[in-house]
Amino acid sequence: MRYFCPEHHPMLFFTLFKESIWFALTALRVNKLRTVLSLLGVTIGIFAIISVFTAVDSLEKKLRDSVASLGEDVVFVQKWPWTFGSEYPWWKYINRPQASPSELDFLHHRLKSAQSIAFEVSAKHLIQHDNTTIDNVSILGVSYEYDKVTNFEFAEGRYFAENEAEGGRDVALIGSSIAEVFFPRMNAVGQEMKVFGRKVHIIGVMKKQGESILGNSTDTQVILPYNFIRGFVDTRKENANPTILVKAKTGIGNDQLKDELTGLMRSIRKLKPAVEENFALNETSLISKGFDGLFGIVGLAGWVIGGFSILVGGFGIANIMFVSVRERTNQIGIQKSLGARNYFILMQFLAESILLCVLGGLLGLALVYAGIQIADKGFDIQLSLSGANIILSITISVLIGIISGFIPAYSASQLDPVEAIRMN
Amino acid sequence: MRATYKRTLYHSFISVVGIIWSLLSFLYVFSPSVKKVGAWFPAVLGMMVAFRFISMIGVWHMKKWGVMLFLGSVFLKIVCSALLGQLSVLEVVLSAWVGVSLLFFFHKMDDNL
Repeated sequence: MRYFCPEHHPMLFFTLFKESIWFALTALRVNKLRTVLSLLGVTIGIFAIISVFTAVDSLEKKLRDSVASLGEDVVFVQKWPWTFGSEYPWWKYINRPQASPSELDFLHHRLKSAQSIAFEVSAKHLIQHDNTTIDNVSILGVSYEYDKVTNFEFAEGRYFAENEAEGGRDVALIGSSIAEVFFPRMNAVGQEMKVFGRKVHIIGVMKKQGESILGNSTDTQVILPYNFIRGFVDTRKENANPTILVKAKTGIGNDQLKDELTGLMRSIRKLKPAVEENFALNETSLISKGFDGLFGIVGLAGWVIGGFSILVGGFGIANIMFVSVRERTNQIGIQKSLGARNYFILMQFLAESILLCVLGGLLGLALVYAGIQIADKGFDIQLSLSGANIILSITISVLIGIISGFIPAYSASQLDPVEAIRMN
Repeated sequence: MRATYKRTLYHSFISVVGIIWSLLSFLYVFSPSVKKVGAWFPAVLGMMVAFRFISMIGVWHMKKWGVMLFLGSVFLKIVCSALLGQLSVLEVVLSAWVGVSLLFFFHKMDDNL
């Protein structure tokens, strides 16, 4: 009888634990079809939850990277505010004036909390090199300090010199995708192309950024000096979207910058104190906040669907464990009559339940991984399964195994050995 | 000959409510808001929910280990909530009331597993 007393043989506990795992594996192996059908509920639940979390996390990361490329310490002075929602009061903003270069000059001289200020207009037009044409390219006209306000790096070449920017010289910066199309086997710097029917000299190629969820990747952009582009584009028009970009000094928050900007813009536009502002001060945090709501809803939907699916799967596991206990009642009776303690019987069935759920969880994870590969190879959508989500899926699997398996395992441990042996 | 420990109506009520509450809390364990706290937090919260569920099974069967496990899980939950600055007075009061009321019947419960 001393054989089953762990207080006399502490290592015996580990031997019994190992035996429990072995019993569990044997039970799962003997009834393969039943094992597969039982773990399907957990598999589907884990697949639903983790696939939604993976999609939301990947999209959120892409969005934050795109937003970061705009600059978190930059305030955009524009006509239209960046607000989201079904109620957008466009009639309040439609008659507002656009930002103008004269306002840029004024701010340049008076704004104390800004490190750099730049002006930007945009247009869409075709560009041409020899016989190759690319249509509907995003063309930006920028002032000299634009490179200090935004975050982009050069793969080749350089930014505009001050005399090139101020003089409106016919020089251009192009994105990496445009360079690959026009100049696949040579350095693009020093070459020429046509924009608005005029020849421009390429002085720089921007570093590859990849696709941006906001559509502002520099890979497909052409950047020209503002004083050059204004000869071809009416920069006061709506679709030019003229913008003043203001970058805060180090140590100065966006709120302080916006306060000073508000005062100066109101004085430039001669607004009386009681009159509402006729300009918008936008910042990238507004974009993030706008998407937070959307991601929250998607994540919540995935959680609710997956959560109830896992719970139903758990009930299925509990049901199968009761069947398993019933089938092995005789065996339990024999074990107990030979001196097996209650906790050993409990461990056996709990181990089987946890193992079943962990197998189901791993299968669910495998399905998520397969889905990610299909999305990447078939639809060119990059998703990644994070370590946090893997830990979460294993945690859920173990927990559902404990919760659904405990009642059957405990009822097995409480069986009377004599009655258990008698049962057929 | 086995001793039987008669379960009172109060214990039946506490066990049923506790089991249902644990199952609903289990759903909350892998919600997006819990995930945001940290990669480790769903596991910790989940273990506490599992302990509470198991303790309620023990209380249903009038076992002493059920009450002890319940008190242990309550203590862990309070410590975690305090560390995260999310301590709720209502939760502490309710848990304390249930724990103390279970302790009143502690001497009538079974020692064994």
